[in-house]
Amino acid sequence: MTAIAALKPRTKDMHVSALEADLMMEALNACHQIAPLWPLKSFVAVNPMLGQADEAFETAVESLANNLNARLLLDRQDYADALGKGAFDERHLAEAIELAGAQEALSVNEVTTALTGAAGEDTLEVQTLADHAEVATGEDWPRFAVEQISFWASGYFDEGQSAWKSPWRDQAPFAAWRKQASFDRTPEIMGLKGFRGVIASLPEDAIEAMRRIVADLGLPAEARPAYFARLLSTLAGWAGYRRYQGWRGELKGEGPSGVIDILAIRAAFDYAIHESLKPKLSVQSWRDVLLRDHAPAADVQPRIIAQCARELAYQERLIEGIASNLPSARPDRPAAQAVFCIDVRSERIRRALESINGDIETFGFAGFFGVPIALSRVVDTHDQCPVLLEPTHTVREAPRDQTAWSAQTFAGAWKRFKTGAVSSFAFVESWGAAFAGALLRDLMGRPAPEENPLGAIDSSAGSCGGQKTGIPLDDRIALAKGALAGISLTDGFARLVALVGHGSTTTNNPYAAGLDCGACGGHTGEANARVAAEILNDAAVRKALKESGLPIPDDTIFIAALHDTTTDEIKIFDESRIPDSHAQDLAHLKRDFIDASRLSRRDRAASLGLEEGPGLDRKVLAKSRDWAEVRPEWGLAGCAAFIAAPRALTKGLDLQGRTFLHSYDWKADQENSILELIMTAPLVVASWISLQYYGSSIDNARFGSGDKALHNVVGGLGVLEGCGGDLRSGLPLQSVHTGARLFHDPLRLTALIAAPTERIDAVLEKHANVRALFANGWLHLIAMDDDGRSFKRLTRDGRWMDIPSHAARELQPAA
Amino acid sequence: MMISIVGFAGLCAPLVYLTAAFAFRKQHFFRVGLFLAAGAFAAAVLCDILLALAKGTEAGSPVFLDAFSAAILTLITFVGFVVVRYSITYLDGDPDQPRFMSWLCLTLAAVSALVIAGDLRLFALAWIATSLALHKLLVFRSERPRAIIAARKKFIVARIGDAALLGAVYMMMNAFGTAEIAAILEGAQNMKATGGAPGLLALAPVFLVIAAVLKSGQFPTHGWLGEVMETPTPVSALLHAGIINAGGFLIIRFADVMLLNGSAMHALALIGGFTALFGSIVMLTQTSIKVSLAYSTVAQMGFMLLQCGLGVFSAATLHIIAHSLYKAHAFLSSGRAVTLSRISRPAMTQKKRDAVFAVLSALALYLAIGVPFGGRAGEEPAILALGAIYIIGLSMYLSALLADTNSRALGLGLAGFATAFYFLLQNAFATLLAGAIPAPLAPDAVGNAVIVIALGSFAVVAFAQVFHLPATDKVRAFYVHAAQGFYANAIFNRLIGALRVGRDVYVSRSAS
Repeated sequence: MTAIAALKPRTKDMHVSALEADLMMEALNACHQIAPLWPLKSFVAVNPMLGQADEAFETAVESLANNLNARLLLDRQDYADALGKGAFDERHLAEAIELAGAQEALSVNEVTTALTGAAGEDTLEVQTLADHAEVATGEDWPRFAVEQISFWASGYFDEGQSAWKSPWRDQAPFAAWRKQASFDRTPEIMGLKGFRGVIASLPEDAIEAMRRIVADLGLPAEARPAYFARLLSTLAGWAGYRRYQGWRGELKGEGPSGVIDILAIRAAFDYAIHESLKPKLSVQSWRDVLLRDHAPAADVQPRIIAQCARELAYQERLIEGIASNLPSARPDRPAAQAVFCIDVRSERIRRALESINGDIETFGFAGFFGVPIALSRVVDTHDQCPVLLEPTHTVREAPRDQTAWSAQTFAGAWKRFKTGAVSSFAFVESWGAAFAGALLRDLMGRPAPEENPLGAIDSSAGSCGGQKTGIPLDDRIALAKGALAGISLTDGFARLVALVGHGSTTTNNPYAAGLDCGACGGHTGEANARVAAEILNDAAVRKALKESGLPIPDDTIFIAALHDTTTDEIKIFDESRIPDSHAQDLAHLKRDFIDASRLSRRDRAASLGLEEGPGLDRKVLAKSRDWAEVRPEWGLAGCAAFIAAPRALTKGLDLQGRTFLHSYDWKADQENSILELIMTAPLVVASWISLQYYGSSIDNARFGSGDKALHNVVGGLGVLEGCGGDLRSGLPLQSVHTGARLFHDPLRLTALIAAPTERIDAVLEKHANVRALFANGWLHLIAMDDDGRSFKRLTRDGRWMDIPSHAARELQPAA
Repeated sequence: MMISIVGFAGLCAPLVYLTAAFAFRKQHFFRVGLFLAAGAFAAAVLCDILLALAKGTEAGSPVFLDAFSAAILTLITFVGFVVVRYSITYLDGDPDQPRFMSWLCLTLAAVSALVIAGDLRLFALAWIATSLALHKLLVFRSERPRAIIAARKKFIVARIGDAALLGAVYMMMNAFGTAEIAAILEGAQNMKATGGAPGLLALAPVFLVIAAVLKSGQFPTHGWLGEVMETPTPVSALLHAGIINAGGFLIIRFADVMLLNGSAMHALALIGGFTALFGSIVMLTQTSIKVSLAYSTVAQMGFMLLQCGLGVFSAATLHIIAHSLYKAHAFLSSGRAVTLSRISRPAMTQKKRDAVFAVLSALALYLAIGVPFGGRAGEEPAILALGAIYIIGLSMYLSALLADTNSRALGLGLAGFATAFYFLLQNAFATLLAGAIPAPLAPDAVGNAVIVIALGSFAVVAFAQVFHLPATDKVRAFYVHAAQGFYANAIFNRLIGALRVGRDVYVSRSAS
């Protein structure tokens, strides 16, 4: 009731500026809740719950359910099934209850009963006016609103599909939409009388329009946060894309203000629906619903406990494995060294390589090898670094002759011929029949290559078109130092050190970039590996490193390679630059790579639905070239833990391709700066990836992009599911699901760090945002000692708690 | 009822698909199903070979196979095999895959029966069955409201089309006293030759036009076609490559009957020509790959019906085949749109001199390559008109190339190559189909007017694309109207209460 009293509009003139400032804040808050969405050509994982990261997981479970109808937990039946199958047991439930501090509120029995009991009611959503109008008229206005706005947005943001572009692309989104909506007759045809007039009457500026709308609807201040969040959630895809567009600014500390336009558009649509259907709607009852308190569903807490218990069970297996693993000594001088990306897929190939040749030493490091570059090619210039960073240097694919550019024009003209009005008839008449050949080609798994292979890369300092390109010597030295320290590779260099980036090979796959290296901005790691190897082989760099106390033997050669995660093949680049003196080392390494690839494919066979046997290599290869294949590989599905430790602690363990492995030796990290870097960058990226998989698995409708078989690439930048609706974010259902069951086991990430707890605390102290991730329960943190024998858990309130290890106890007498 | 080996081979196609539909009901018989789909294609190829060797036709009942229907059967079984093979991998793991595969094969069975039908009743039955089987595929994801809306619109349009077809069938059977298609065509030829009065039969072409127009997604009933991407991609490929052209197939199959009513032909040309322009303008504004492909189909089908209406049936047949191959590939490879969209369209030349150069080069290429190919370059006005449209299209391509002098030579070379290919195919089809379908006919005065209207409007649309339109509110408004497909679909949606579809699901969720 008090809320309704507050509805009386404050006299407009006196409070305009204050109201506007409040409104701006509230709008920005809503925009913060939208996760940015990268375009498909550089698709990278984003935590879909980014906006909720400063809330506790438990709070987010409820607020997302209430406000957005989104789920963060599996169904109780799923938990009950997992319990029945022994994926976790009552011990884990008891531990989870204890960790939640809920011993007095809940018992293990109550949890298991709740999991097997009858299903609870769905929680109530915060209603938009479109939702409200739907209840009143029986017509699907929420869907209509999204389709109309999405239709506009796909024209406004289009990156190359349509030949005739929206004429308002030079204006701010809200102004552009307002113009278009004042011409578009569709709403009126569908029964929204006077729609165009209402839109045309709104101010051109997004915030001013919002102010008008809020005042006219008499929307109380306390209802706004939920309402705004709900409005934006109906267009989370386009809003996310808009946020991506301003991401560079956000890295510099700006807010996501560009997203306000999308919020204003959706609010204006709601407003116009209300104005058009006024006689049928009661704005009063809509406001009442908005202000009502939402009761949490009864089964939320037991499901949270069960989710945590599943994670504890996984941690237990992981810890037992490490505790019972016999650490191996580092060889005097390894036969070769290979540095892989921390990507979970590297774990398999590293394990395979080590088992083929025990004298090879492997490392894990972010796959851009510490060189944040932008790569300039004929087609475009793009970033080859994690999205949390800005590229510091631009390197160019060595300029080829003019034909490369002409080929672009040529392809473009052909596209005009094919897609022009009238000319498309001539195209079909003269060229259509030739597609019989294209059909055969694809049918037989011999697709035309979609991208030109990367030519020579020029990383030396220079300039191109007035812009500085390349990397000057001082920066090369700094990058080399940073990379080697980050890898924890500062002595014991082998004769060959391979920097193995990764990429995928698929065809006809809009999500191809999602399978590439996230640390390289959703591209293959080829360019970074090649530039890094070039820098580390640079004589001037070597000389400077030696002077600063980091001598690399003269007979150590760095080589660049790429692990194809789809086929598991490893390709070596710039072989011609490798001196003859190392020919034999190279030949051995190549042979080991080939054997490791084969072994890794066998390891993956079952998950790909293939049988081991003589034809396996061919079948895996065929998947990468099959235009109908929706699951060419499983990407990072299964990811569950992030381990920062010397490889010796995990070497020999089968971690099932579920762990991010970052090499780290705290004893060499005197200033704790490497740990700080690991916890603020790769760990955060890993948490984004893990939460993307988490969200896409648990609630694909909200956090994922739906059915790949219905995907419809829009504007060259994203997908629609089917013919309309919002732009979809997250992963396709097929990327996490086999059709029969979830392939990705949704667990919150466990970070396992081999370092003294004080050192970890020091980083957490300094970085509140990282601390919040743990304190709010978005991921787990466990510290372990140098031998991987004793483990401590960071509790939500920041204490360290011993984890008893069975294996450790059993081993101790022997040790 | 005697049936030749050709007829038997043709009959195999639908029967084999029926068996395949049965095999696909069980996962472990998928290999059998695929083998059968390949068998249907093999049967079609066998028909081609036998027909070529015997240089005759199987013109009886129930099978009527001549060069025309054999060509279409080959096309459909080829696309059918590709689509079946694709779907096995594409929907792997989907618990509903067997159901999908079965309906896919049943649809193929119906289409192939339609193509080989020698009996009007079988023809009509296959026509209706195709649509009903397709309906099952359109609502494969039955929980999606937009899928249901699209299928519902399609259902309404298809039933009206069915009624029109049944009307035409009745009139033809009534007029000739037989259900045998070959006999009816012969009767119609005789009637035309002797100048006999068709009487009620003159209405049959009208009904055929209605049926064809409704089957081919012509304006204003095209709306559903732009929404069927609510079902897995292979359905779109099959629909756009194998089913949507049934309208054209109908007209060409009954070309002899069509020729009995010149007005029906003119109407067909006008509807087709209008839809061709409508579809290709709307296509320019579409931002999603599948919807723009759908509008492209609307346009191409319009163009094909324009060709039919102008009486150039061999060109229309070629268009059906070329378009099907192109569109099947375009849909199945639509995942590459991300890569393709990165190719930017070069600016069109804005210099009048360049534009004239482009048109003259296209004309020169056309004549230089066309004349050696023989008279096909321009004997009949209709063929001349189609040639002119080809020249307009080619000059648009050349206009886009002129900005870059390096591309000029290569571009002209490719244009020449394409033109040679164009004439080669046109001639080949004219020769191949000579016995099966009527030769192009000389247009009457109205026909000439239709040609002039079509050419003029095509030229205007081409011109408007090359030269920038003024940035006025009228043009901007036109952009919005075009992007919304001039609201034809919105009106249809309103009529069928599209906003009420599937909302029971939604309301129960939000109100609980």
